[in-house]
Amino acid sequence: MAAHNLGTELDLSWISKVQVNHPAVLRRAQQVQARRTVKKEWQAAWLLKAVTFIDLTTLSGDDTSSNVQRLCYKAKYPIREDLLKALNMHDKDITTAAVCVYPARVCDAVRALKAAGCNIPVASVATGFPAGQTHLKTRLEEIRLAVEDGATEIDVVINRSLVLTGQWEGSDFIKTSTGKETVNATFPVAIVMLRAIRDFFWKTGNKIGFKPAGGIRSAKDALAWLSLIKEELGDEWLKPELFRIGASTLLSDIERQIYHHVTGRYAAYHDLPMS
Amino acid sequence: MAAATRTAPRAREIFTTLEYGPAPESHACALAWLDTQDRHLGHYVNGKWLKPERRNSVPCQDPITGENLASCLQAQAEDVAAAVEAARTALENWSTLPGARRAQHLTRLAKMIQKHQRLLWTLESLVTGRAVREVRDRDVPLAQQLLQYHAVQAHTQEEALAGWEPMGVIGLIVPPTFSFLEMMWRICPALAVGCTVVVLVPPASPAPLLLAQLAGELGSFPGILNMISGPTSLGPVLASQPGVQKVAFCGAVEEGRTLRRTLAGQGLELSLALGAESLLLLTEAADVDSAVEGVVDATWSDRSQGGLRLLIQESVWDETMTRLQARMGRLRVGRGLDGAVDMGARGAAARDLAQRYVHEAQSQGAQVFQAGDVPSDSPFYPPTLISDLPPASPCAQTEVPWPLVVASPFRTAKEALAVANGTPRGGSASVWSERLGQALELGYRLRMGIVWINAHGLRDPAVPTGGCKESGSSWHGGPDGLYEYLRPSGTPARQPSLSENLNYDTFGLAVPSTLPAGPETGPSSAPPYGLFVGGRFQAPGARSSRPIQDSHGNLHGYVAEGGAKDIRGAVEAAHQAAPGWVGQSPGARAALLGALAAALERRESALAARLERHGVELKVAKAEVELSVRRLRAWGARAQAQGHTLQVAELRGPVLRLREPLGVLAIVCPDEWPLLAFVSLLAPALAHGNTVVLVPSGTCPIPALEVCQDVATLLPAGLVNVVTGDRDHLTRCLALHQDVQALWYFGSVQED
Repeated sequence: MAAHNLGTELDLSWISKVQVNHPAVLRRAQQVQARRTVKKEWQAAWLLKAVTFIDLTTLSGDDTSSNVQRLCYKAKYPIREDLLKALNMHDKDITTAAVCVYPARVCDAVRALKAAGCNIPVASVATGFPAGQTHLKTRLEEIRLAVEDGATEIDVVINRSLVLTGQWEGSDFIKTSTGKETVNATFPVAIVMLRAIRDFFWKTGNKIGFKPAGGIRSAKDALAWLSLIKEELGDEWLKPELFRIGASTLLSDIERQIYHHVTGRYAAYHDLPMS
Repeated sequence: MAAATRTAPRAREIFTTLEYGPAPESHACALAWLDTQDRHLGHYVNGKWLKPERRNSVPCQDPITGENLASCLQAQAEDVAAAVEAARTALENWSTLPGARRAQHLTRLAKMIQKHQRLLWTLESLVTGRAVREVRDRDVPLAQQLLQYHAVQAHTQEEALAGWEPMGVIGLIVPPTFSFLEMMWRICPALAVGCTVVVLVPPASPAPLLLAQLAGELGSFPGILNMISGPTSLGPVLASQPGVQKVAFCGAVEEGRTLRRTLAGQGLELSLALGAESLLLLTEAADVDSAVEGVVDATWSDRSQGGLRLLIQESVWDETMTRLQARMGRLRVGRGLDGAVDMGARGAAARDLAQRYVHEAQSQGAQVFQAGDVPSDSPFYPPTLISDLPPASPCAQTEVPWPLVVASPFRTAKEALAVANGTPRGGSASVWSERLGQALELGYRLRMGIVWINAHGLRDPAVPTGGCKESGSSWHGGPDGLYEYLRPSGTPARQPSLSENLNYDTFGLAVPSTLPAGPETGPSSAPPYGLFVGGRFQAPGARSSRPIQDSHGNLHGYVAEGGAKDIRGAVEAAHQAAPGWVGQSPGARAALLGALAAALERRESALAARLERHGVELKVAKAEVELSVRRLRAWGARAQAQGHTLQVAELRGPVLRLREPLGVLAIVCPDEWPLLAFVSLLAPALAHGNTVVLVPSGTCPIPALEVCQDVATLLPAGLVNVVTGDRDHLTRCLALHQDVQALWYFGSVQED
């Protein structure tokens, strides 16, 4: 995590001055995807970089210690070793940025990562995820417990009823959504959020992180998100401290693309280890 | 595996820098197509390649590497004649086909383009240097949409355009800097309504030739689209071919002017679309980030051909400049065939033009900011932002070239309009404001052919676009685009009326002196005397008069001898009356025209008597008065039905089409039908909100002056101004008055 956002005096005039033109943002969203592309080794390198931004996530009702353990192992070894060797990237210690689980699974994740001998952070969703409609007291307690269990990052669901009534909360990182909504991370929404992050940085010097979550499944999507960050915020935001992708199936598609890049062949289902 | 090991060190490095790499689009198919022509391109006429012997040829070069791609023949007059001949032959069949049949053909062409689109976009990008993304994602799909839209128009032609017929052979002149899309905007409506086309494409532009080949290979109707490659100087040759009814030109203002001059009197219609500069007006109520993207769309995305004038409200100047400069830093310039660049190169001429402008601006004290990821080798020019250019400097007056943006501040909306409308250019503009009322108000009052609100450069086949002022007066797209190539059924084809010995320098320069011409005779009372200017009869500046004779050669009366100063006064009066008249509701305008009609009716016997003295039979004279009354009423009714909206889903918003008055119209009436012609020309001009300066019939101006007596009491002062005198002289004075927005001339064949 980057330095904490120390916050500023709440100045609602910042918010009231914001103008967003919806059709124009939609056009920009289309353009930013069409105007940038990376190919060949650039694509491979970008995809490996994307791996390091992934919050490898499992948020299912039926999560148990066994699938969390498998996930953690995948977080440590996201891409097959021989593929990394072929790219001469095997010594770069490429892992996902974090593992993201429900609070009750934090213990399992911490244990599994320790067993795998790595210091990948464990992120926990908390505070009545995904609705956030529980009492403040239980929400705070949830955070405390998750931290006690070893979580080092907490994805807080803010109380949206407060937002809708104009009572804002601050944060170090902002997420597009919980990943559990019908519409999750979309480009137009992200553009508006990224511009807000940039404006906040220009005004206060604080860099706020950004995490799109939900619906990012293909390697192509991941590349588009990277170039969106590069275009709207710049390279300094392209590091795990300031950019994360919340995803569960994205990693396997990236691995398939790397496989294709290295071997020139498309991988069969059984060629790549599951997560 | 071997390949991967070779690239490995590279990936390692990129992993750290996270830079963009080359994303080349293969142009092998473009080269293969050039090979089918042995790298030697001719013209495409009547469905066949035409490669005449003994012609000069020019090399077609890759604008970035300078590599010779092919050689292109330069046409000579006889090649142009052959193409026009083919188009004339094809016209006989094509123009008489049922619309549905033409629709089918256009649809087939759209599908043909779809099948070969990769070839088209790589060829265009390779040769012009424009970013392939723009050609691929915008131009090529739009070309197909244009064909499909116009196919639908052709389908419904018999019902929707009843009473109109195709003009004939259309000559189209496209200058080197314009993309094939500009050509499609004009070809599609022309073909749809039943015209056939000869296009004079600049040498070394193979994409239009490819399009012609695709059209030709449809098999049927080979001669409807013919391409001749040659310099713009062949334009007059194309125009003077028998059978060519209209010439459409798009390009630089100066070239358009030259063409207008050359073609004067040849009986041709000429439509001009000139200049490429655009304007962006950014208010403090704008979504600034989106507006900055608008600037990118307008200038730095290889969409438009020209530069941009950027007006920024003072209160958001700093903020906008910061954002704009930050955005510029992320622009990528490079080989057009790279899939990840924003801007390609446009060749040495465009680069030199930009460079000259920048140097000059700098020498006049302007600040220049350049940024972006730009290769250092010579064909590229970086995105450039110029500010602090003194408004009075010569640079600020000239057209801004690609890829330059000239930014200047404004304080109030009123000032913004004054600055925006204070140029001779009136092509396109965009207004950025989240305040609906303000955005619409600015949109209404900008003197531009097209104004986008919170967007820039959106195009749709169903939306007519055009220009005003120096940017030309032709329209393309939508129904308006169709009428450019139609004429009312039964109108005779226009004949050349060029008088070889007409000297523009001396035409109408001197006024023959007029002297007293004998006793005034006849039964009727003395006609009104004076120039009708600013709502009253005034003595002419020259203080002299000309006699008007009746049909027996007797003196009917004297009319004032108007001159340059009187024209100046009349135009000034008309301008003063203009805002008030435009501000009137259409209903109020209709009511006033109705009142004038009623007044004419009351004056019927007096008017008929005046006409009778000029040899018109009483019955016919009465009929003329009656018809004049009807015309006034009819135009009064039409005043109420102007301008309407149309909705286009693709553009995510409504499109408002407004009919604006031209402004001050000068009308030189014919000698024949002295009353009817006067009224018939006056009525539509007034109905649509124009103010007018008229020169009435030279031989019989008195009925017009009679009408002015009613105008004086009924209409606001200055709305209608009537100047009598020597027609040629007055025409000259009107033509030399720059603040007259249009001149309708009916009269001797001497000047057309």
